[in-house]
Formats: sequence, C-alpha cells, structure tokens
Amino acid sequence: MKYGAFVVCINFFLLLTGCGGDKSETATVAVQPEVMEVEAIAAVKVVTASDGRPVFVIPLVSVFMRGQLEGVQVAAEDGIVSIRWIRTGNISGESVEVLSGLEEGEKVVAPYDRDVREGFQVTVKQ
Amino acid sequence: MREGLAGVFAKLFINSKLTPLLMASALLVGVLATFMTPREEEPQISVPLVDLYFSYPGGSAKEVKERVAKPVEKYLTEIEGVDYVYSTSRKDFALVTVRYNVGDDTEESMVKLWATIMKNMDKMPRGMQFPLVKKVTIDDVPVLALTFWSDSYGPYQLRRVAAQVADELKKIDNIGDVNLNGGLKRQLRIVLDKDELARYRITPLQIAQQVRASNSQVTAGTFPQMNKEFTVKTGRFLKTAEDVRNVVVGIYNSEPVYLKDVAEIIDGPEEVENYTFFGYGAAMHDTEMQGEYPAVTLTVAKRKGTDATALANKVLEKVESLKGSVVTSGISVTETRNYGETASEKVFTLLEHLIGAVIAVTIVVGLFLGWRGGLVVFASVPITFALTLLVYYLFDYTLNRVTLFALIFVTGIVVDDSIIIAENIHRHFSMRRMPKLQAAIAAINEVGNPTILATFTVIASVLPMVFVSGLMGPYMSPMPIGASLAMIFSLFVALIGTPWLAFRLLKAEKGHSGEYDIRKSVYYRVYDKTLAPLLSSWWKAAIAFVFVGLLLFGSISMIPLKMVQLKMLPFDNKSEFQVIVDMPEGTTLEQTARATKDIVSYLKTVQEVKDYQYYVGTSAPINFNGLVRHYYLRQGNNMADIQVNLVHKGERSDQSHDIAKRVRPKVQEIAVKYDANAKVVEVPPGPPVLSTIVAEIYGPDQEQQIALARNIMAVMEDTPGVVDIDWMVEDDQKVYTMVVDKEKAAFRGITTEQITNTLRMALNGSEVGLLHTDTELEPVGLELRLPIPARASILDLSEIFVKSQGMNSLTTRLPAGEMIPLSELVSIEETVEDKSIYRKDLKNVVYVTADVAGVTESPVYAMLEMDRRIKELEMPGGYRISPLYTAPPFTEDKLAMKWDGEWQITFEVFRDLGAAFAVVLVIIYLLIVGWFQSFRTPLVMMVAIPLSLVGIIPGHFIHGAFFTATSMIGMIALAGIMVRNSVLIIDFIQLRVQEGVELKQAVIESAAVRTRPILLTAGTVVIGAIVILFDPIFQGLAISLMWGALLSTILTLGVVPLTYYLVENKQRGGKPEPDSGSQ
Repeated sequence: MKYGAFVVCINFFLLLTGCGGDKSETATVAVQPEVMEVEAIAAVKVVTASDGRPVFVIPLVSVFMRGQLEGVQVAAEDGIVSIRWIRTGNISGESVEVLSGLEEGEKVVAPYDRDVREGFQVTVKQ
Repeated sequence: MREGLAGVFAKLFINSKLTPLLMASALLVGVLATFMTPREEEPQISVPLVDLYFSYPGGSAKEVKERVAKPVEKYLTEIEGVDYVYSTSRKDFALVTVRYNVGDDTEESMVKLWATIMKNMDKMPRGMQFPLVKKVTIDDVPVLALTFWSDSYGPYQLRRVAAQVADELKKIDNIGDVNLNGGLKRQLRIVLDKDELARYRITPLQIAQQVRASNSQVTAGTFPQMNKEFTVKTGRFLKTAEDVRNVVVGIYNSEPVYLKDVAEIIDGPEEVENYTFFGYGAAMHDTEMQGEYPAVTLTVAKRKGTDATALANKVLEKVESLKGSVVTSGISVTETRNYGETASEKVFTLLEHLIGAVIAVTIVVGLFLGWRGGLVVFASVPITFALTLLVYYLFDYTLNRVTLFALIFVTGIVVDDSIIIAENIHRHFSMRRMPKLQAAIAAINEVGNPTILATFTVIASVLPMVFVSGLMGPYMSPMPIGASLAMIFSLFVALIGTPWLAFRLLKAEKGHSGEYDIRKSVYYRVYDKTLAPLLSSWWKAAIAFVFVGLLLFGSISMIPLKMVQLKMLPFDNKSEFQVIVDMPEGTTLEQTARATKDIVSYLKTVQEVKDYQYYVGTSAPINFNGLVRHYYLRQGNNMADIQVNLVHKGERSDQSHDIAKRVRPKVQEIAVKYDANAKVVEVPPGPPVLSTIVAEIYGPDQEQQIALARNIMAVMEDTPGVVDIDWMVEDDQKVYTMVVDKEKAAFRGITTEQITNTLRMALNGSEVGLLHTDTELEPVGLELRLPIPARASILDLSEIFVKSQGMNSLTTRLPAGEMIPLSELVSIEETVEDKSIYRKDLKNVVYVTADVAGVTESPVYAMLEMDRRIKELEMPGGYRISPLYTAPPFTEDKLAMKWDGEWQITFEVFRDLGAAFAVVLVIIYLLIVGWFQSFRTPLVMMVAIPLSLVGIIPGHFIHGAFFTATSMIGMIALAGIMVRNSVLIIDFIQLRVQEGVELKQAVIESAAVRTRPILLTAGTVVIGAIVILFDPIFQGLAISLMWGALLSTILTLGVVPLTYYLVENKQRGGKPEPDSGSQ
C-alpha cells in the first residue's frame, strides 16, 4: 500500500538515472562504382593566347550544357567521374579556353559522354 | 480556529450548483483556445535590427570609415533605445547595423531612426548616396522552402516556373515575403563587340546614353476637341528584344548605326552568377534520382502572429494544385524546410508531454489517496491549463516551445494546491470527528490560508525571471508569466473545484475503526525514532547539521571540479544544419563550386542525410541564426552555403549535434585542400549570436589588431575542443588599379569619370534600363557588358575606347569625337584590396570567431583555458593583455581583447537570473514575515532553499548533463516549493502549540502529519519532470526538479523541524536541553 507506492516510485526513479550518455558511431555507406568505357580522356593544357597571357584549354567537345550551365566530366586519378561547372572563354578551332573551374593536368572526358554519370569509373577504349 | 479566505470560498462553492458549470465552461474555452492560438516554433521575438547601406563610390575603406561610418555611428548612438551599433566599412560602401533593445517597438524605432538620419543628411559627405534602410525581423525568416529541381530543365526555366508559382502563392492570406533563391533571371543582354565598336567609332557610354534615352514614354498632355478631351503620349518604351536591336546609337558615314551592328542582343538567361543544386543523401538511397540537379528554392515567410502550420499547409495545397499546369512534368518540387510542420510537431510533442505528466501525477496521487483522490486531482489540472491557454490566446501569445514549456514546467506544481486540500479533506474524513460537510470546511480552513501563502511564494519565486534582459529575455519571459498564471488558476481551482469534487468523491479510509490518530501512523513512528533523539540531544543535532553541511559543500564543489559543467543551453535535436564555405577572396565562382561540390559529395554519403541543396555565389534561405549573423548578405563568388536536411529524428539514433560533430573533421579536411574555410553551423537552441566564441580585438591600429588576432587564432587552434576558427579579415586580394594619367586625359578632352564609367560598364556590366513587358513577373533588365572572353584579361581592356569630349571638356581645344584607347590614358598598377574595417559601438574591432564541439561543449571552459595562454602573449611595446569578460576596454590606446558571443548572453542570463534569485529570496522573506509576524521564522524556513543544491548538482553529474539556464530556472522554482513545504510544517506546529501541545511533541506531530502531503507534492514534481527528461533542451530543468525536489524534500523534513525547534526552544529558554545553539 503506502510503502508499495514509495518503493515503486523510488525504483522507477533509480531506473531513470541511467538515461543520457554516449551513442555509437555509425558507418557511412560505401558504393561500388560502375565501370564504363569512353572514347578518350584529355588533359587540361596551358597554352599562350594570342595576346600573350597563359590560358587553360580543353577540347571543345568535352563541354556540355545543362540548361544554362557549362560543365565537363572530370575523371580523377582513379577514373571516378565527377561533374565540374566551368566558365569558358574564347574558342579557337577544336579547343576552348577555360576561365575558371579547372586546373592544369586535370583530365576531362572528351567527347562528353551523356551516359556517364557522377561516381562512375571510366577507362579509355583500346 | 482561524476563519480565513479559503474557508469562505469553500463554504460558498462546496454545495453550489454553479461550481460544476464553472469547471465545465473553463474546460471548454480552454480547448477552444488551444485550437485557435497560432502555433509556431520560435517565440515571437522583437529585436529591432536595422541595416543601413551607405554607398560612397570611390572611397577607400579608411575613407568610408571616417567620412560615412563614424559620423553615422555617432548620431545613431544618440537615439534612445539603441543597444549596439555595428559598422563595416569597405571600399565604396559601408554597412551600419543598429540594434535596439530587445522588445522595443519596431515601428517606433524605425521612425526615430529615419528622423535622425534625415536630420543629419546635410552633414554627410558629398557623393554619398541616400542610404538604403532595411528592417530585419524574425518574420523575415521563411517558414517554408520548396526546392524546384529538374533533370531536364536548366536554372533559367526553373526560375521562371518558380516565379510563376510565387506569384500565385502571394494571393494566399497571411503570407509574408515570397522569395526565390538561385536560378537565373531573364535578362536582355547587350553584349558589346569591341571590334565593331571601334569600327563604327561608338563608345559603351554612348550606347548606354542612347538606350536610356530611347526607353522613355511620357504623357505629353491633353487637348480638347468637340467637347472631348484627348490625351497625347509621346515616345515608346522598349518592349521587345527587336526594339532594343533597332535603337540607333550613332551615325557613321551618314548612315545610322543600330545597336545590333555593334552588339549582340540576347534575350534569355543572365550570365551564370550562381550555382544552385539539389540532391538526395544516403538516407534516400532507394530513389532513382541519385545525381544532383539544378534547383531554385522558393521561400515563404509568414506575417507576424499567424499560424505557421496553417500557412504552410495552404501553400502546399496551392502548389499541389499548380502541378500539371504551371509546374510541368519534369520539374520536381521538394519540401526542404517546413517550420509549420516542425512547429506543429513540437507543440504536439509538448502537449503529449503535458498529458503524460498529468497522468503520471494522477497515478502517484492515486497510489497515496486512492483512485478517488487521484480523480479529484486529475480533474483540477486540465481546468488550470485550459484557463492558462485561454489567457495565452487573449494576450496574443502564440503556442511555441517556450509558452508550452512554461506549462510543463508547472505541471508538477499546479497539482500541489489541489493535493494539499484533497489530502487534508481526506485526513479529516478519516478522523471522523465531524459530519462530512463540516469536516471538509474545517480541513480547508486548516490548510487553505497557508496554501494561499505558499502559492504566492512559488509565484514570487518564478516571477522575477521576467526581468531577464537581452536577447534571452523573450525566450524566458513567457515562462514566469505562464507559470504564475497557472499557479493563480490552480489556486482558484483548489479552492473552488477541488472541495466540490472531494466532498462528492472522497470517502473515509476503511479499516480504521474509531478515531484517526497520528501517533499510530508510519510517519509518526519514523519521526519518533529519528527526529526525537536529535531534538533532545544537542550534539546529535550538531552531527546532523555537520552531515548536511558536508553534503552541501560536496555538491557545490562538483562545479569547480568540472564534474558538472555549465552551459547556456544544450543543443536541440533539429533536422537540419548548414555548412558555410568561404574561399579566399578573389576565388572564381567555379572554383568555389568545385570545393563546395567536393564537400557535398562527402555529406551525401552520411547515413542520416535526407537531401541537400547548395548555393554557390548566393545565400541559402536564412534561418533565425543566419538573420542575426547577416548570412543573407553572403553573395559573392567566393562564398557558398550548403543546406543539409536530415531524416526525421524518429528515424535516426544520433542527435543532430552529434551528426554535426561527426561530419565536421571530414568537411574541414576537404575544405583545407581548397584553402577554404568551412564551418558546420547548427541551429542554436537559444538566441543566436555571431558565433559561439567571439574574440573582439580592440587596439590603436588595424595592423596591430590583425597581428594579435592571428596570435589568438593560433591559440585557438591549439586548444582542444575549439573548432571552426575563422576571422573577419579578408585575405589579400590582388586588384588592378587603373591609374588615370590626368594631364594626358585633360589634354585629350576626357574626364576621369568617363573612364571609370566605361570600365565599370565593360567589366561589371551596367543596367541601362528595363524592358517594359506586360507579361513578365520579374523585371527584365537591360544589361550592357563585354562578353566574358573579352574581359578575361586585363590586357584586352586597354582596347576599349573612350570618345574625346573636345572643347566641351573645357580642358582642350581639340575637336570632339576622337576615339582614344584607354591604354593611352591609364597605367595599370597591382595593389592589394582594402580590408574591411569593422566597428562596434564606436570602437575599431577585429573579430575572431570559433565554435566549441567535442572535448569541451561549453565555451566558458575553452575561454578559461585560452585565457592562460593569451595572457602570455607579448604585445608590441612589451605589455601583456588579459582578456575582458563583461565590458569593452575603456581606452583604445593599447591592444585589448574581450570575449563575446554566447558568453555575453550566458553572462547576462546568469547575472539576471542571479539577481532574480536574490529578489526572490527577499520577496519570500517579506511574504513570510507578513504571514507569521516574525523576523526569525522565515529564516528557518529559508534554510531549506540551499538544500536543493544537494540534489541538483549531483543529479546533473549522474545524468552527465550540463548545468544550463533551464537548470537554473528549475532551481529558482524549487526555492518556492521548498519554502512552501516549510510553511506547511511550521504553520501546523504553531497551530498545535496554540492548541496547547508541548513544543517538542508539536514539532514531531506536525512533521508526521505534513509528511504525506509534502512527499506527495514532491512526488508529483518528480513524476511531472520525468516526461521532459528526454527533451534535449529541458533536460536540465527536469534534472533540477527531480533530484532537487527529492533530496531537498527529504532533508527539509528533517532539517526544518529541527532548526525550528532549536530556534524556538532557545528563545523560550526554559527547557531542559539548554545548549542547543549550534546555529
């Protein structure tokens, strides 16, 4: 009766003191990349423009338009593709000047392959 | 027996037919009020914050500071009610932010501000443009964000669709601002062709002039004819791209030159100036849409005082109905923020807590008093809350987390009045000395008056919290007001409703034959065993006091020993956080996008991430935090915001704060690769500040300040637990200054203004007017600019021509019209861009900001840690500084540093709460003096107050929780409860003594009689608090109430009767146990 009420309360109370504390770490999801073959991969080159300033150039065919945005597919060292948004400048012949977004030596998929998605691994067709 | 107010009330209502009607109607209006009161998440906080944008073209940062910022600050600080004035001066531009006292009337503040600005306009420098004044309020924060994204459409089309939707949404009642973030606007771009310009001898300035001139239409006047009046209009606006193409911009070889001859006119999207994307995170791995998609976010704000939930639902319904017509297939709309839903959820969770608390309390009472007693108490709580909710509604409060918190907070307390009365009626019924009706009235008479007193002590203990100043004030004030109201209503319910119910429901306990005798109860036997020996032996009493004293000392020492840490407010479990990316000044938009994208590609792999949006070059939809931090001004090529939405908190095991802590190192690791600064920003639980830790560095000149700031940053880097370190000093940015050769320019008939305007037009573009279309929702600007390839290099610019004004310039006699390349007139110098100058309250300041996470969660400890090392820093001139805590330095002659940020609010809150607590003690003292007509008795009662610390502090230690502001509130409220317990004991002792019982016997008897109701009320406080134990914010309060009530009740039941006995006994002086003065 009255004691019972007491005991119940106090036990319940003690039960709650265990609340709070640390929680375990959770792992991130690992995804196996899909492999695709592409025509060619071109490196970003530095050339000297007609007025003497150095500029980055890439093949014109590597640039694609997404709505109003200009992008290229950049292949990392391990061949994993990511999309990079760039700003282009003058076009001269087959190549186009890149004003920002790429650096020397980075590799772009050329020509742009619309079936290649971000996260895919690309290899060059033999 | 005293015949008090309580008895009068009871007699009046105990048999009245009105009583049930009153109770029922109170319940009814309360339920109605609950549904009618608007719901929202954050409390309505009125912080009049006004941004003033001063444009002073051509001024360097220093000049802007001296000419514009300084004088403006000076006169603004004169305005009454201005709390802080901040300013940022950079090249060409100053931003002055005025913050009024929290709670000031916004409209009135604006009027005062305008009057002051107007009064001083004549003192401002020539060339300064009239300031843009923008009021910033919490209602600017969007409650709903809808992201439009698509696999097949670009940002331009998305923006057009979103604009159309926005236009439709605006028709909804009570809707506030509707804005679009991201996407590209329609623009009529006039892309100049340098070669053609040179060939036709046309300059950009000329084109601007001609376009402006042709884009006009006026009503010329009227003329009458045959009794009718006709209106004459002249001119025609430019309505289509074709109109613009055919503007004649000059004459060459007696042939008109059309704009289309020298420029390409493109009607379509503006140049890309932001990258906004949407994508799903790892939590949504089962959707098809795994990439990221161009996006535009539409945000909806609400009007003040309206229900966020209702508005959000209406908007969503409207958008749903637009699908298929405006929102075509291929465009997806995702809800990326819905504060309406979160508000509703929060409110309902709190209501659930409330109901849970009431039921738990009922069960406890039921265990002690039987189910009928439980029912009596159970009925009284909803009536109390119903009335309180009604008052909320009438006073224009909204249901938010603070107002509801007030109710939960008092749940355990409001039942007490009813419990005490019901318990006493129950006891009197069991005694069977009188007929039922008289017994009930006698019971009420006995405890009624002390109950009234006790209620007022509790009110007195919470009410001073109203005076908490600063930003925390509005967070706090609904609590004391709500709690006090609830207490008053509970008193009325206890005096009117409870007797009526108790009289009808309660029955005498069976099993007792004959008179109920306190001496037979368990409580009496316990007291007789424990308390009686202490009463009769002074040294036993002394040991008891020493024991209690040691307990108290031990508990308090847990704070300096850091076993319990202090923190302002713990983090709430939200479902979003932001990452703020800052690249070095001078980074291109694409480079920023690249770094942001890299960070995002990590974030999207985090398990709990539902979706994300990132905004490069433009700001994400702001939240309250961003509002205070001015994140809405984050528009620049080197800035990006990432908005990360997490899955619902029910679907993840980690709290948002833990997730933020987990992702931070990786995010920063990526950011460092790009030389970027990335901060993981969480929604703060309380009022937002610039940053959790802010070091304000004052000093005589900027160089020294920056040097010290650099040192302090190094100290922060080395301090464990301090993260997200940043400062508000721009990196050196290379700028090219075109120095105009004045003599040459004058000789050739060209003004400097011509040159600067031409360059600005070429590089930055210049809007030369609007296209006057009837159908467009957003204005379509006519932008004149060089194409990107042509402005890519500074060398190209020198092929731009200006036209000599000839004799018009008054400096030359050469004929006008000669085309002169800029390269002949300007030389190029490379310099470093001026750094922004920040000022706060008329002092120059450099800010270093940081956050805490991990090792120390509370900034205070990190600050103390860093203090030691900052004091060791050597200043130029050989002195050392010691960081200031409460006020900025008195002079700026020497370098000085002040801590600000969360600390400032913590300091203000704890200071004000401390002061409130002191006031509470005085008021309680006065109340009891008034009641007992003794100066000493109140002191005995207040002995119980510090005893609550014995429970509170170790309680926090056991739970591993922070001692927060809510803990402090709990402690203050407990003071009231503890005093009430003492009042009930001592009042009864005095009653017994008056009846002629010997003092010692009276003390033991009273303690025994009062134990049951006191334990009951303590039990209800504990049980009521348990339901909020799992709420991250209110945990501190729950712990304070639970452990504080438990321990201090147990101690009070022993210490208070003992102390009272000793004090009284000594005063009477005629007892056999002489030396009882251990006090």
